[in-house]
Amino acid sequence: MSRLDPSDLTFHVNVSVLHCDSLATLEETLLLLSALPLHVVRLGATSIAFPASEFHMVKRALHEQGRFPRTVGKPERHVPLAEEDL
Amino acid sequence: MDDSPSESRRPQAAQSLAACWQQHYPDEVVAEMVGRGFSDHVELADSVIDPDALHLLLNDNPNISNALLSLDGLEARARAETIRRQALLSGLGDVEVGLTALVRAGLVIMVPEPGQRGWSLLEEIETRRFLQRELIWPAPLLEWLRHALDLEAARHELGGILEQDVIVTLDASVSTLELNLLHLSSGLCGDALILNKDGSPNRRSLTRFIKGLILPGRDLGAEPDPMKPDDYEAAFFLLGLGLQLGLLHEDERELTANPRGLEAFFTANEAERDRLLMRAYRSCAHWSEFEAHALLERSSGLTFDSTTPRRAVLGGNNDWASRFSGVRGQVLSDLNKLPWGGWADVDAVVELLLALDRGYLGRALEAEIDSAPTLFLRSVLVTALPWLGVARLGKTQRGRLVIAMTERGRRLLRIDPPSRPVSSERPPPLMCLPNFEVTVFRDAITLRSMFTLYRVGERINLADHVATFRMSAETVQRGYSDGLTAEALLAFLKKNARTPIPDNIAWTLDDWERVHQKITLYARGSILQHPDPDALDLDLGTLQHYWKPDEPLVHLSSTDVFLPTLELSVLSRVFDVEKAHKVDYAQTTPPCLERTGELTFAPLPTGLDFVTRAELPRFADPVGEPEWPDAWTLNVEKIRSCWGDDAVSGLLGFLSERLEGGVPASLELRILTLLGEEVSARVERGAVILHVSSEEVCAALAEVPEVEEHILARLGPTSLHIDANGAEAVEAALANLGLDGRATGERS
Repeated sequence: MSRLDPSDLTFHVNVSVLHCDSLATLEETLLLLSALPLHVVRLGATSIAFPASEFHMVKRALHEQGRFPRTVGKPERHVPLAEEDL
Repeated sequence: MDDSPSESRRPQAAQSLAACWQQHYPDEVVAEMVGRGFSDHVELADSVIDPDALHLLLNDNPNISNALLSLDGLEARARAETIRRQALLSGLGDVEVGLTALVRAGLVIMVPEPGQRGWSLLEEIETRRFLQRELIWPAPLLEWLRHALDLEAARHELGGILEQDVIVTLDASVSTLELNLLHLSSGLCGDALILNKDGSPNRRSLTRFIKGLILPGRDLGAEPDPMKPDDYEAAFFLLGLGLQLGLLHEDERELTANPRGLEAFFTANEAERDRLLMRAYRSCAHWSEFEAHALLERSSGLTFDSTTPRRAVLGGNNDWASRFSGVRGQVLSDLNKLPWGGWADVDAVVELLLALDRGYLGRALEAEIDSAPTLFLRSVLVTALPWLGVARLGKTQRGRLVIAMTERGRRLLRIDPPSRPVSSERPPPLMCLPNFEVTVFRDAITLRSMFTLYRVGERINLADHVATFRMSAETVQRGYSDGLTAEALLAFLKKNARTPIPDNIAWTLDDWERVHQKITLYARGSILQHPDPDALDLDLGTLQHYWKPDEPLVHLSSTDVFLPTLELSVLSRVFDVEKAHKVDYAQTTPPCLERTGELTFAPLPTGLDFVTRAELPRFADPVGEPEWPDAWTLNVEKIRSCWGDDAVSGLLGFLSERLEGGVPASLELRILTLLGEEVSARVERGAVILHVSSEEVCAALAEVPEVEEHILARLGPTSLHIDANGAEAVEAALANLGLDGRATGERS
């Protein structure tokens, strides 16, 4: 079992992470995302985290700027369930 | 005597027949056959093939015409049963009687078993044992018989299927199926097809993905429409096959592509793909032959019983469909036993398959209608096989539905041996233009190369011999996500292009790779935080010993790690997940703030969630006091800028979710006054009545402890009767809350 005190341990579940190759790229990306209603938190020098529900907004903003980053894992469903066929 | 060229072949026919008799029949068998003694085989054979004798034989046995026609295309030797089946397939009907007459007359020779002695031809015929024997007929003899009995003229009357009479109604090829699978699954890379609750593909969602498919029986370029039953069923079949091949993946009512499955299938050689395709069809639990009932009803007039199992689904449980696996295996095996030539009558094929099946289909399908096996077999022939590209369908001039195996279909059914890789020189299959369009010559390109193009481009046009792909920043970087590199892509283009690759293509591919490598998005998971980096590192080491997720753990900082899972239970072997603080952003997050002053707030010891952390700076400023280093104080300007006209409800809503027990009444009133809401109250001296500006304010005020303890009665929606002794205290409380608490009248 863990050596860590569980009262100091926090799990943030259902989050997405954007990881950059450099601080400069992160700054550039944050600037790009600044106009969006996102809940972005910087973690470390080159990463940001945000609720997974905002993943598609981030991805779309990057696409609009011609950036198509590598995506790891399966995102939350971003299209509402289509109307059922009769 | 007739001196025509054909007549001149009579001696050769007689000699070849005599030689066969001598080789295979003892003299006593020949004598038994002709019913008399003889001295010379050739002389006897010549008398047997005399035109007059032959016409007499034909008059007595009209069936010999069909039997002789059924020998066409066979190489002078075949098992009697095979000849019989082939005749059935080619529309000549049952030729057993005709064959019997030919053997009886000595015109077709039954090969005795090795070492067989003292046997009787008549006995063999009577007991029908000859059907299991090999029959031979010398080619010169058959040619002579065809001439003497004028068989070509008889062919039309007898109704045999002639190649030139067939109009192809459904052309198909396995290559088209593979291209469809590639097109469909490429569209599902990074996008999802939605399934209905019953597991069937949602038609609206399907519309996006079936564009560009070449559906059976449809012209190239005719856009499929999922609202049309035929197109929907054909797409359903492709999706079912894709799932079975591992090209697609079903999860939470969504279908997406499985990149590993795509790579495995589309880079395999043809023989391996053939094997995988047949296996996928055989075991496909996501589609059933009964599914295509609409098509069948149109073509066969068969009707369905409501109890017939026919509806398979792409998601969920298809237990009932699993029994189809055995049935399909049996049908494919039986199909392999049929003597496929050219076009074959569909009804005759069904009949032969039913005869070979001996009731297994009916038992295995567990269908409650007698016609289910016929229906199933017919569906295999007119839907599954053409949709797989194994067979083509056609119609004769007399309206008969006919089927023919395609070249690759014959290999898939193992009628023909598997193809060997041909090392023929093909011209380079593509041309790359400076505008990023790639023209592909379909006859020259391999499926493997086509797969690479789908990974980095979008197909924008398809014609009979040419396809056009367009590469863009998005499609190429999607390919890079799959593991391609700019260097490898450029090498691929150079190797396969007929013309040099334009310079702008080369450097743009490099540039896109540079941009692509700058950012990685991790779509969904959990972040583990702990303030002790060393202990965290040690525990993560232990965790990775027990837990091997498909995707990597990402160290974001010395105290933050991204874990590719939402299921914290997988971590419980190492971490005390139960006791840890959890913030799930798909649900309501737990309170994370406490009030540390009139308008100041600080994080609880468990820390702030990400949303609060991101939101606080928008309407509050850091206090910066040593006692509360993480505290924040409200900033009126920021609040108004953040929520505009909804400042009060916005701020109260935000705080109520984050303060344990919600927003206390006193804080609510303080916020109202802070934001300049019209709030007033006064004390009526003497009567000591407290009047409040609104019902809401009155209700809130009544909950403020300093006021509440002096309330004697509520006088209405906006008035409270206050204890005279407490009037001053209430006034003071109102002043503290920033309310206009000026009293009127005299103090008692």
